[in-house]
Amino acid sequence: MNCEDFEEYIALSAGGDLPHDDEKRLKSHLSVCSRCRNFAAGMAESQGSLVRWRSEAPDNELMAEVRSNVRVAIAQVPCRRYLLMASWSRRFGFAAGLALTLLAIAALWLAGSRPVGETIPAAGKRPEQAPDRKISEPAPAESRAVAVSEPKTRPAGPALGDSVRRAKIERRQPAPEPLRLELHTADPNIRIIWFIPPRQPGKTVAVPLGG
Amino acid sequence: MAVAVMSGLEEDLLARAKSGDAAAFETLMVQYQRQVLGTALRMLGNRDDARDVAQEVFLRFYRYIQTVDAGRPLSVWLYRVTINACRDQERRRRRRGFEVSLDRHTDEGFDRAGGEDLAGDLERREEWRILREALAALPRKARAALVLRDIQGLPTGEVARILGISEVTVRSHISTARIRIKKHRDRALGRQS
Repeated sequence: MNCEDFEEYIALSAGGDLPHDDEKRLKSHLSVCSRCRNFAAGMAESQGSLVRWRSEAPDNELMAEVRSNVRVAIAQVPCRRYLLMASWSRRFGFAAGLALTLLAIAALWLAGSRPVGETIPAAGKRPEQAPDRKISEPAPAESRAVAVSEPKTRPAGPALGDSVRRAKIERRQPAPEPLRLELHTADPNIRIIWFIPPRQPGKTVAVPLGG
Repeated sequence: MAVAVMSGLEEDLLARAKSGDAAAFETLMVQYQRQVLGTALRMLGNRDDARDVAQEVFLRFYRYIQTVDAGRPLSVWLYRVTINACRDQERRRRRRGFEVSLDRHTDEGFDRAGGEDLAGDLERREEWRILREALAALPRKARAALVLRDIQGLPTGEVARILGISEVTVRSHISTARIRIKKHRDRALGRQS
């Protein structure tokens, strides 16, 4: 290390910021270098001057002016809560507005995609079953079988947990067709057909009727 | 001025100020006005900028008082806000085309009430004028490190936390600043460095 490198050590040492090992190295250099000793003396003086400068305080008039201006600025705001709310609304107002708009669009879209008069079933309720009664309704003695056919618009599955999820699934599907129920009798010219409103689970089943 | 953990009295004042007690807020402002204004005056070198910065600091304190951690010294929070506000003020000045010149660094804003020792007062004033000039010529980060470490008397670790830099960097800034100030002072006093 040369004397210029030691100047940095001297500067740090003047304020007590030099690590112990470096301090020892500096001391051994100072013991043999008069130029660095002079530099260190000047640095100590300059450092003392900086420390004395701490006592120079801001004038009271300026401090009073600052306090007064702060009081006025605070008084112009109705209350601190308003300030916090204003800060909050600046930050999140845009996001909240966007979320509300999206929600409104989604609600309108859902309402538009649902057939008139249809209601979303209550959460956890299973959809109404196909009226088995109709299948077993009195039929001519000659009848052989009942064919229940439903267009495969929706696979049979577990009841949905909530109405929102249900509504989403229904939204993706095309409008379901009514359930078609045919009763074949012994006479090939006679067929009885029922059309049952949609939203009834099940698929084409053949129900053997007595005989 | 060593940084200590927030005292019980100060903690109580802060809690009251948080709940909307204007008198408690005023007391805290009086308690820290010297720290805030003194730092701003030395960082910016003139009365008007320092006053604007000090007002900004106390208004930020008022606005964000709920976020101030009662477990940590309030002085550190205020130092950080002051240094940031000084930086913003310097940028604003530059944007508006103001030059940051040594002439702007005056003793306006400091208490000039002298004691009985007039000759001593004059000598001190001259000494501080030289220091003000030297400080104004320093790069901003070196100036901030020196003001906090040598004039406000904070430990190196605390200075590093306030400025958001490592202790090694703080030491590097401080040594550079001290050498430059010494050289400026030697020149001003007609000595050979």
